[in-house]
Amino acid sequence: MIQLCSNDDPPVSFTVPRKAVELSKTIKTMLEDLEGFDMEQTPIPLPNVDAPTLELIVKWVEQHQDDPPPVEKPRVEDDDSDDSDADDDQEPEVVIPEWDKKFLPTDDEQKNQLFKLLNAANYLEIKPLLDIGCKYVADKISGQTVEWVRDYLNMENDYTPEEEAKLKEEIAWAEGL
Amino acid sequence: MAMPVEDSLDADALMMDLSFSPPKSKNHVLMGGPGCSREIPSSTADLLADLSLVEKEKTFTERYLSEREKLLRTFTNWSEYDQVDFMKQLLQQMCHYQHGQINSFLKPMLQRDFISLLPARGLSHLAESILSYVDAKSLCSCELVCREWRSVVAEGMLWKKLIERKVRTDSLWKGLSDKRGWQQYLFKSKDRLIQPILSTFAPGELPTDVGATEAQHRFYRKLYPDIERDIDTIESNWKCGRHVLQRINCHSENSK
Repeated sequence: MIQLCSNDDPPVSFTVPRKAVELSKTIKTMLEDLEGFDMEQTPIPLPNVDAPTLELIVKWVEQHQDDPPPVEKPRVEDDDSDDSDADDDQEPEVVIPEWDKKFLPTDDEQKNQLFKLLNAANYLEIKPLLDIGCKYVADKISGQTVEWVRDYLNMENDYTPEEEAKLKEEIAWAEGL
Repeated sequence: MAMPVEDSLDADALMMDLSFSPPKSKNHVLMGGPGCSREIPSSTADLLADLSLVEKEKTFTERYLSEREKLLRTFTNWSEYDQVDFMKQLLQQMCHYQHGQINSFLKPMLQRDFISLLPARGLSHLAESILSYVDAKSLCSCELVCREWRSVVAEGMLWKKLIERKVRTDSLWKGLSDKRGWQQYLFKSKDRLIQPILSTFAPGELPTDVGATEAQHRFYRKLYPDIERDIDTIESNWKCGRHVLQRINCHSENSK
């Protein structure tokens, strides 16, 4: 078992099976580098993760600890793609599993918790969690107006009216989609 | 390396001064080279403890502690540029497994700094991952959200990726990409495509301040609706009977 500590004062600590914790590439690498030290006895501080977010992370990794590891990029089977230096990453379609749909903080008032969770998944390099989270946000903003997206993601319009008008003109074709 | 000569001399003199034994071996510097682990058995473990994220009881030698103070004071008085050079010199004196330890210590530090710079509740650094899942219409809206997102879409070549995704998943797109020739602009690296793409623009069509990435961005953003229009035309031609049936002689089994 490994102990993880949140960045709160005082820190809140969670005890998690090593197998689950290793879904985080950041922590897995750290544990491997510290091979030979008794990491069961040493809590790992996570300076970017607060307790509510860490609790979610722990829930998620415990749920998914027995998932088959993601397949290392299979070589493209299409016979026509002979470009070895193609920079496209052939990501398989991301599907959010039922359990995860219920797990993600998806109410609008929980929006900030969702963003904190994604930031933490990014910092801890938990790619499957990051993928489903990003997919969720992508679905959420799809088909919405520009104003809605700005408001949802707490972003500000920093275009000048001229720039905005010009850009709108460039993408006017999208209106018909 | 472009740097003032005095600084390099200073650094050398300092490192000599701090060696654990007469400076005959280059490894005997402040942070302990491979030789140190033999002569001062505890130093490797101490080093590791120091490098881990965890506070541990330290058992450094008195001598090291007093010399470290002195060195750190000298170090903080240098310019940032000089400090970086000094660290380079230090790192070059160390062996591979030490580099590994430093790496594991440095990595979370870099991530930490990166994250702390972000707006606490924002997701802007995840923008590329998020925007790689949206459809064309939403991608257009996202370009309008703010400058940063527009540059994420451009730098991330997200229009190209969207078209590639369509070609991979939609047989009509796949067939057209072969037939209409725009497949040559897909599934290849940015660097290999820049010349062919630039040559599709008429002279003077691109403003002079437009860089290579922006040019490619504009190319793919324009290609997308062209393909959509092409598909619409084909579908309506088919539905309205404006097509010509042709007999094709087939020899292969699987194309029957």
